[in-house]
Amino acid sequence: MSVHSHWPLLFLVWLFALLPCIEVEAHKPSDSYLRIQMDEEGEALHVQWEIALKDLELLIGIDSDGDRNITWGELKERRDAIAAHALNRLEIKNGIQKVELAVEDLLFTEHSDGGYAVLVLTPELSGSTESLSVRYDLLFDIDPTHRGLVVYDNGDISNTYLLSPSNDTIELSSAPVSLWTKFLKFIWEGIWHIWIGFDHILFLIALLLPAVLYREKGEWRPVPGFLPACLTTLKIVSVFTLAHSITLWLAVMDYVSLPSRFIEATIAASIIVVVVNNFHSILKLSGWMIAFIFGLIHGFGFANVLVDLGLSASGLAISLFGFNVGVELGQLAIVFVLLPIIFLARGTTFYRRYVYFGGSILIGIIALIWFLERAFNLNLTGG
Amino acid sequence: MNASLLVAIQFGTSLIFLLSAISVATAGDLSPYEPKNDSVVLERLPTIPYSRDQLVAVRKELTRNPKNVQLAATAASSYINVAKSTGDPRFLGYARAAIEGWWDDPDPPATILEFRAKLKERDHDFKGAIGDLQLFSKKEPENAQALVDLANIYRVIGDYEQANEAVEQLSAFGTEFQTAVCRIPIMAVTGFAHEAYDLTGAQLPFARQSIPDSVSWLLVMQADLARILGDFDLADRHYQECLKDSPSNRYARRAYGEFLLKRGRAKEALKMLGEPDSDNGALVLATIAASRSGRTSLAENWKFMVERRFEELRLRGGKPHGRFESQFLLEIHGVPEEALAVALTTWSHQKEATDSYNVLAAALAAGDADAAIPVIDFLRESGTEDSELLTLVKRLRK
Repeated sequence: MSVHSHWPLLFLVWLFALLPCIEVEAHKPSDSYLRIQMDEEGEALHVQWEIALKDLELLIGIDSDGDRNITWGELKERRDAIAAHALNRLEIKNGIQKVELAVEDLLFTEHSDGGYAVLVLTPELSGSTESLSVRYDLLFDIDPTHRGLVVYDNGDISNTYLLSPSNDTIELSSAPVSLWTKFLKFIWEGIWHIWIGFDHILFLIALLLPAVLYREKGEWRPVPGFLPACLTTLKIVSVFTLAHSITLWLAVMDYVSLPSRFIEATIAASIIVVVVNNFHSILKLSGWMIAFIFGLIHGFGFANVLVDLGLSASGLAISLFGFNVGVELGQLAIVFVLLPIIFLARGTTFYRRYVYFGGSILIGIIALIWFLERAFNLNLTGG
Repeated sequence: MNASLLVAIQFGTSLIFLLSAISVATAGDLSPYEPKNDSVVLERLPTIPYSRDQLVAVRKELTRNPKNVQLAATAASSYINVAKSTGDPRFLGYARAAIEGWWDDPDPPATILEFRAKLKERDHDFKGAIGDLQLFSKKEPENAQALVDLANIYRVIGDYEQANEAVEQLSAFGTEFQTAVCRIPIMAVTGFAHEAYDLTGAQLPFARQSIPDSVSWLLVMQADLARILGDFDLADRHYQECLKDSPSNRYARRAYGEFLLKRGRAKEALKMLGEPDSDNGALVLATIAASRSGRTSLAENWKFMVERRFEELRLRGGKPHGRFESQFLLEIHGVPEEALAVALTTWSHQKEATDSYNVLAAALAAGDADAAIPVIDFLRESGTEDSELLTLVKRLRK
């Protein structure tokens, strides 16, 4: 081969070779994500298969108008073609029996390298559940660097597997998980739920704001010591936990069942009542009593979350206990941040005027919006 | 009044802290959803010089004739070029598939070796790439490509003796321009930066006339050589000159962005780096630039993006490039010990100036000068004149 006749062409390749800062390998190559979840009874699977749009474009062609933009409309149009191609390259077996797969829904999600189509499959498992296995060969023939990432969750444990051309079949392990691991998992879930559950946080804050004050002759005065403030707070938080533990248990065990819209609306209402009570003691009750009464309502709210997390009969008590401990810890963490500040601030006009009254009003307004949205199924915040 | 103000500030900051902690916690929610309407754009595909039909046709042809050397080589070469121009590594995977039949072959045809080496290099398998290129060069001793690639990999791993040897071999039959372009980056790091600067300048008239595509590379090289020699104003002028010629040149913008960032001109760097694409290196630099120019929320968003990309790379059994991970750990997370460990691991197999810089900077921040000794020795032995590296070495010696 004469080098010089191909010279200009070769030179382009050269420049890339010489440039010191091209890092193509710094990007993520092609992956698909296969999330498989076993339902509580072990009778059906919930499968979510996320495939990169860039891969689907090459495999079957999505960009029908050729404008280099893939729209939701274009993706939906190709749903059957995607399903046909993809399902041909995935096999899930229950023991030796093949599980029938069909695409039930098409959704969209994003990963760090772009948009992904999400195929939702909910195959039923006939017969008893034996060991599940997955065989997969999407894209391997045209891209040997492609990987299938499987996340399998049977309610007790979640495991990750990697599928590659040299390892295209895997057994999904369902080894029982230790109670301790389960306990820790649910503690974390409890903490997490408190932190992302704005309504519980606001309820707690509304209850805590008066904990550093007391009323004397119609006037608010700062409590003298840190210890009494701490004790009041601890009592409120613990009683709240105790109360919602009771209803949480009743709801999870299916002894009591209330419609979730009613519960959510009542939770919002509970915040409003506490706020109003901060101005006029309409309830003639002390903080911990209010915490107990409304804690019962909040417990039903937690139950919905816990059911969504997937509870299995084994170690139910441990899960419930862990979740409650987590909620308590999550609340205490908030108290640790809030209490010292409001304690130090309690004597100032700023605290009484802006934090106590202003804060209460603000919380009240938010709760009112929630209440209206939840009770009357309105959308006031445009979310 | 003062006490009230203090309490107000304290209360306000705590509330902001609490709310931001919550918003960060919930930002991780990326559950699948149904887009609002049909016209929502879900993905913008990069522009490539081939249509989908062409790509499909090539693939079908490959399936029919998996052992056709010419076909496989042409396909691999096109895919590698697309991967370079788009930054999308899945095309490297397609290139790999095209030559898969020869992947484990100890003695494949020369054209296959050329691309196999390229793919191994991209995969950081430098040893494998060198082996392939040596075999390639043995089969075709007058093939310039093999020697250019060989010299380049030897330079990247810090084996300057072997790199120079490859250039010598090339000079026996290559043109003056070919040899110069191959030699300059090695001269730059082995004590001949002045000569390299002059040599680069001398190539420009010919390049402008005959190979205009190479001009921006030469100008970036010239800028970097000026930086090495400590003349930052001159370096700046060369970068400006290059961007005047080709304002949207990705590599020039990134190199200039990095230069500006090191000069403490974070705001300009941020503008230069622009909205980062899928390239992790550019994203990490942009995150650092955003954070240093006080664009907190932008920096937070990008930080989250970097973390997610790193996490997804690990999930697939790979790992992020140590060069960028160490910069990220040092500059964004502020954990110099961890940054140092990553930088040292990277440096053990890749010794470009940035890799040495990362070790020295992390060692300095971690107060662990001893850890940098191998790097300092290496730089002294190779005769570096890099002003930035030498400044760090001096500070470490104190």
